[in-house]
Amino acid sequence: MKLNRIFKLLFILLCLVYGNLNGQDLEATMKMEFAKDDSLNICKVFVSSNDSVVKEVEVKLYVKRLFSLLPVGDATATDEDGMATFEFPKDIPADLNGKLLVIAKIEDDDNYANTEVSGEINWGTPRKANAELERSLAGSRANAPIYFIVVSNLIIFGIWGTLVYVVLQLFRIKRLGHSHKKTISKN
Amino acid sequence: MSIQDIKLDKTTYETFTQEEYLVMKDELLRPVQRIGKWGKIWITFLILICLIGIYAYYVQETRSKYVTVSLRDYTMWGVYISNFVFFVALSLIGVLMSAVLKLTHFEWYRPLSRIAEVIAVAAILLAGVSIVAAMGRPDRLHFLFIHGRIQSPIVWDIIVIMTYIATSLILLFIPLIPSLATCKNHLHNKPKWQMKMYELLSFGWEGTAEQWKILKRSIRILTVLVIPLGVSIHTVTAWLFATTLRSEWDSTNFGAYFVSGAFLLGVAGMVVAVFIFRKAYKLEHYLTPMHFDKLGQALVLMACIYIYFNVNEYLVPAYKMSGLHENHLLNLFTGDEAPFYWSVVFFGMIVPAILPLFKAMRKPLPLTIISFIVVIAAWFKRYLIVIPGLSHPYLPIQDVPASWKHYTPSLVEMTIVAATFAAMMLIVTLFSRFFPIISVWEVAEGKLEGKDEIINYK
Repeated sequence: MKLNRIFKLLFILLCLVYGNLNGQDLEATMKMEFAKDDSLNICKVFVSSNDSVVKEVEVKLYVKRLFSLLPVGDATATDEDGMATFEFPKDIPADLNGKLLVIAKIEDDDNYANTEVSGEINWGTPRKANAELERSLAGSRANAPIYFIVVSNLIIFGIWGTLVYVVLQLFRIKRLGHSHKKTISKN
Repeated sequence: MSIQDIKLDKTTYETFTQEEYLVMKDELLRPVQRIGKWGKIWITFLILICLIGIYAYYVQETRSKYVTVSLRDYTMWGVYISNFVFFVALSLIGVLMSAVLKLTHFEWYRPLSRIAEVIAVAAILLAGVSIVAAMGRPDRLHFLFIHGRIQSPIVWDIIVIMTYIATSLILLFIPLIPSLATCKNHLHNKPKWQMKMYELLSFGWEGTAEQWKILKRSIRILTVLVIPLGVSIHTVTAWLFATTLRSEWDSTNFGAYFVSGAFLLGVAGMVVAVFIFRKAYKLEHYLTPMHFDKLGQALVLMACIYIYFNVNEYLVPAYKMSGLHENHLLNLFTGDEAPFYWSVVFFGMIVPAILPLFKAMRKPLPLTIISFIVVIAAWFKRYLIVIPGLSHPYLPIQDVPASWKHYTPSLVEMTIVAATFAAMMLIVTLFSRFFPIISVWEVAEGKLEGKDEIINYK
């Protein structure tokens, strides 16, 4: 048991030493800024570590979607000032207010641990407030196109009306049979 | 003298010559009058298969579906839906054999029409059962009606299937009314409830001129109605696939391709059914070699039309071999599914297009063997449309368990499929044991063609 504990302790120590040598645990701090340059939307991500700027580290930019993250452009390396600059597209669909959750990440870097920063900005294309209320083929049950409802109902009622008419003929046949029997029995 | 000219009279007319009619009536009512030993064994066998199928469905619904069926995220339709497409296709038999031939005055349809109509009703009912078997939550079936969107092809399919079931049932029933009166008047030693059923269902049929007029007009209306309905039902089934994003199904050809395949299956199914009824019920006088000869010719025509649509469906995309189709098409032509695919092409299209060209092959037995092969190939053809289509989505399948990538139906699935076939045959068999499978009055009327006699057979 004792030996076992010693091995465990040794293993933990080895891990700590290896981690420090490898440098992967270096913490980076990220800050995100949004700016406008003429007509362009610019997203700036500033990376620092231990109060000094971090150069040449790749930053990836994403926008939060319903199930996953949508990458925005290619990964960009930080410049001499520790700044990664992204031109932000203007056509990303967003919520009613056009708000997007933007996420910048350092992933799988040789020197720095995975880090991320996020910020909200209303640079998205706002979703129409009543889009689900518009009549369309993709609309809800209550919002089928009028022409579609009219045509389909005409067909359905036309056919079922004919079927009902034919079934009613059966009862006419029955009535005729009864009256025929009566005529025969009278004679 | 036509039916319309018949005046109300207290005299009850018999059909044409009394003797001819009596022989015909006896022969056509024989299967209803008495069920032999083999008939009982056959019915028991079918009921047994159905019961095993019901038990398999109970197992499927009460234990984890992940264990009992092979359906997964990609192949979520599987063998149940290919079986559904097969049954929908088979149900078009009524449209072709009864309605189209009747309206185009091909008189040889007469002894075939009721066989076709009862198969159509049984097939479409079992198509509905196949859908329910495929449902993950059958207890929510009614949600389709409560929450269904009219814009959705699934809802169109439900509407058109229900309409087709109703139309086929009425089209089966209305020409049956005079036959029910015949059963009521001529069958004997039958249980009281059965005689009461004939009495009730014959709707007071007396064979008066006015009754004939109404009956014939109703049949004519339904016959016209059932053609667009039959085409719609299979076209909408095709649209279920064509409106789903899969490279194999991304086709504007799909509706016509499905309908043409259904007509080929319909003719083949008809040949097999006619052969069995002819032998089992000794109906050689009514289902003659002439019928097989005509059906053989129809088989060639339908196979050629189906080949034409298959060329459009497979060879045109294969010529372009675009990225989206490539995976799927190469898989069918030279990949894993190739032996399966080419067998279906050969047995399901080439064989029926060529062999019945020879008169000797249009004799009852050879044509039945060919048709039986076509029916089997037709079932596998639907399997090939549904399963490889689902296995080749637009986005590559990644990071999923191995069982999601390939589909092989489980024992439970195959048992339920077998039970649907048994149920279909059971419906047709039981119908033919309670009602004349060949319409006595329609055949009699056909024999009267050109004769100046009064039609009133009861």
